[in-house]
Amino acid sequence: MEYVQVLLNSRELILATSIALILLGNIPAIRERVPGYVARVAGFLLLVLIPGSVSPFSRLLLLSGVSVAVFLTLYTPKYSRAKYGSPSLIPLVDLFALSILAVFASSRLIELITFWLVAELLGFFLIAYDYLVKADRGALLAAVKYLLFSMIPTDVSLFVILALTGFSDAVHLQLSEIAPDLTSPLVTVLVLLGFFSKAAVFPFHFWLPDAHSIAPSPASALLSGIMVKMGIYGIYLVESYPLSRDTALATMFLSSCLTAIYGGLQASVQSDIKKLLAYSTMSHTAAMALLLSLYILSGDSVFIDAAAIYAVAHVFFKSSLFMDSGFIEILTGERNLGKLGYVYLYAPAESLVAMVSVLSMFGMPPAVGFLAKVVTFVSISYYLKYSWLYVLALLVISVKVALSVVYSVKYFRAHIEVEVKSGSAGLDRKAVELIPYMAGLVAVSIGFTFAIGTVYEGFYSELKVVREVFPVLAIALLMFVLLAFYLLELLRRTRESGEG
Amino acid sequence: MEWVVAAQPILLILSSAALPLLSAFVRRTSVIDLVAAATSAISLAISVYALVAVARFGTLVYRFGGFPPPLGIVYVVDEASATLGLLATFSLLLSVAYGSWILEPASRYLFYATAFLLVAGCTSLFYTADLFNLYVSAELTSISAYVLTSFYRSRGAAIRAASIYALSASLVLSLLLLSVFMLYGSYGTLNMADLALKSRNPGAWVPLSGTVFGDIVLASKVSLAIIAWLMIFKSAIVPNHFWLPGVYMEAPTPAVALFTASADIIGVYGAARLLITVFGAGTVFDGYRRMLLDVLLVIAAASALISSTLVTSQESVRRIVAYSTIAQYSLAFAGVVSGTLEGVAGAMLHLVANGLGDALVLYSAGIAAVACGRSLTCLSYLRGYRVAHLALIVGFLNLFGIIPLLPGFWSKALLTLAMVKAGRPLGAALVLAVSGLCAIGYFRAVASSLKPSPMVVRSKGYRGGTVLPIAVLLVLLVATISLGVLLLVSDSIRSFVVEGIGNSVEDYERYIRLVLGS
Repeated sequence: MEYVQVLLNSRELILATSIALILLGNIPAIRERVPGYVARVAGFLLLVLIPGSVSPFSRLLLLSGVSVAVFLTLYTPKYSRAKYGSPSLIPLVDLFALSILAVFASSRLIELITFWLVAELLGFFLIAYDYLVKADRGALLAAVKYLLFSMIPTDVSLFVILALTGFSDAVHLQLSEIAPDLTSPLVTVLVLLGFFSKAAVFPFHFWLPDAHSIAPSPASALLSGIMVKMGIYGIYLVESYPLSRDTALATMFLSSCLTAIYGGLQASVQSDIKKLLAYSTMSHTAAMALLLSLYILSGDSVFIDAAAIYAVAHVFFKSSLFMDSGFIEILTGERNLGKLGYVYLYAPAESLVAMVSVLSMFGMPPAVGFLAKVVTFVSISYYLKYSWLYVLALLVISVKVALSVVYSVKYFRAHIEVEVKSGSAGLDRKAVELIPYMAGLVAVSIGFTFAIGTVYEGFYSELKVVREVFPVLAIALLMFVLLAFYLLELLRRTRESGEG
Repeated sequence: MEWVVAAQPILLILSSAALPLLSAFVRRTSVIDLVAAATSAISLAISVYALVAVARFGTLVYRFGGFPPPLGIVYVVDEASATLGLLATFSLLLSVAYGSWILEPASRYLFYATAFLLVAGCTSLFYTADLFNLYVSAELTSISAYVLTSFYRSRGAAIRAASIYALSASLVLSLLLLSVFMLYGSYGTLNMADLALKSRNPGAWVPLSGTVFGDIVLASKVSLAIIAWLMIFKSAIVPNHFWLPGVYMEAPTPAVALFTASADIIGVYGAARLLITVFGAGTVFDGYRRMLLDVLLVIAAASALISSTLVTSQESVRRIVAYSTIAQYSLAFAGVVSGTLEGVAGAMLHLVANGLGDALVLYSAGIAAVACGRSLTCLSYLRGYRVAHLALIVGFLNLFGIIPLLPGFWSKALLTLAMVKAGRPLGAALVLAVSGLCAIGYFRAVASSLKPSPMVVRSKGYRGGTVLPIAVLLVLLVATISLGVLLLVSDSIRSFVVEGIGNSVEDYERYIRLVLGS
């Protein structure tokens, strides 16, 4: 028994086993068969067992990231076959997911930096993937933009932190024990800007729409769903080190307010579904950065928790929506909203799944997005009387939420449109195979609402209510879904008979 | 056993003379290959011995002929010079092995002989504590480099590149000779430790050389300016880089790989030794020196930015390597002139990382070049050679330097640290920005190598299979990765680099004490 305990406590062993399993599952002979799937899923699930996580923040990101990775490793083979005719995307996506998750599981700075840099490198090649297989120069351009304006600024931050920590401390001490001195205003700004560039917050926001919309959809799901959270996580870590607080507050508050509104506005006017999702990511990460900046202002960790829950919500709905956009792409070969709107005719189940994700995006109960919204509003409202900055923040978040309703509805019009255009002839029905994985991810995300509600209810009395009414909400959602399904089916039948 | 170190350049020079003679009598080229390989292996063994001895027992000092300094020539093998000496001899062995595969059998002995001369000059330059000897070594290295550049003497472009290099380098080197005269005329000595002592304490009296007998301030200022220019020229810092791309395009592959690890690193080493150790902190003209270092830092920064921008748009591996080398040397130079311990250590480690990375890239691309050509699209040919393909990718990743398993990461981390410690956080951003710009060029090459392209027709077959180049690449891969891993896991290796190499350059008192005694 003790041996088991020792084994479970060995981070390196778990990580190594996990990597080994994922690599094993990627052996070409079994890559697209059950043993391969099992090995990879087990590899990702094993990461949950890694002990000694730095904080609840990283632990939450790890858990939600693992959920996404598990469904994505099942989703990618079918997507890769359908879109590129080869399974070569699978190992890249798996390793990318693994390296991002390992960042959240890192306990020492050197580990964090290693996996971070590996993740960035793999991200580069995933964004440039269409250049590699189809010689699409746009993909190379997007990848170069990503390299210059996301990767390099972040590397500057990491290297500066490493330099100020000292090599020996970076190797031997836990992340929570190091204290690099970032108090020089210039250093503070430099380090923060680096993490802004990863989270796509102004002034390094412009690389994201291209990169996230050009990458293959599983990669977009990881880039937008999990990787931008590395930037948020970086900001969170920096806040626990000595830094110039006034400079940090000014930089973060201003940049994140600007980006939250700008991203929301841009998302509302996009007609490409992946671009829409990409801009919305910008707006959401800016909201998380805003919450973290309020932590600097107030010193109350309630804002950290709010940012963490928000991040988890975003992980789920953004990954599933990007998976959905991949589904639409495969099914119809089309990404332009103006030419879509008939997806429900051929895949009503997927339209439902997308509906739940969209509901989560604008924060309807009992989706995890709702929890994020509640905690955000509650935490800010509590401090309203202390400073006008909180009022401004609340205003910005409100505008952002309003915009999110606009673009969420707009996105959903890819699935269903009142004035339906005729479905094109060249539909790829194989796309239907992808639906179960997206449905699974959405189901897990609703489970997460309950789990987080339980974990955090001690801190937020409001969340206790959520937990108590959760069964009611869940049943309501189920009924809503069934009703919607029935209505969709009805609509489809009517149309078919009309056409006939 | 200090004499072994002194025997190293002599061995190389002797066998350089012996090889042409041998080739006149022996018909079989394999004998020549073997002799060359044996010589370079012995030379590598000496360097390994020197490094281990330095790490365990401290600096080795050898006095030629037993003359008491400052009379004779003294060799000082410390952490910095032993490391770079090992780099030069290691790359010599590899380029001899690779050369025996890629070069025409009839003219191979010429390549070996010149490469030996070149490395003899380099090692002697690293070890020497005599300024005139340093000048002679620099000349020896440079002349061998001109010869290697024009190795394919039937090609007009090669002759042109060699001529530009030779003409400009001779001019700059003759100015170094001038500054040597000026220093001798004012200090009355050319022993570097003696110079270091008297530039800080002009009243010091040293047996045999006495005190200074001229205006050392003016002479030192003029000499420092000349030395700074020479080192900038040898490191190919923009705008003194004009000779390098031509040389890297025209010289044979093993010669280019050798240059990046020996002949072209003497600029950065020379700057560290002369501007930091000899005429370093505490000299009577320190204000002037600081101003000079600041100017050099600006020049190096601008050079790094310009050359890394040029890396992005190159269409052949050789040109990518050429401009990236300029960018990396500029970063190393910036590290040296930042004047911090970490900057100097990072610069030396950066030279090692760059030498290994360039060799990996050049040697693997050479395999594609023999079969297909030098353009980037030809790199996809490497898909058929797993080790070579891996070597290319690892080489570029090492040059990019952001994976802690490769030495390139550690040198960049040290350079960043140096900039932060010197109070220049923007310099830290510069280091990474330059890496990012270079990375565009690197990743374009990597992307081309990953692309499935229509099968290239072999224009000519490989002589004697590809076992030899693959073995060379394997050795390089193992060396690069194990150095990176050692830096990651071992505190003592890291402290050898930072404290050991850093102090061997920065601690001028120790240098004076070691050479002059008490």
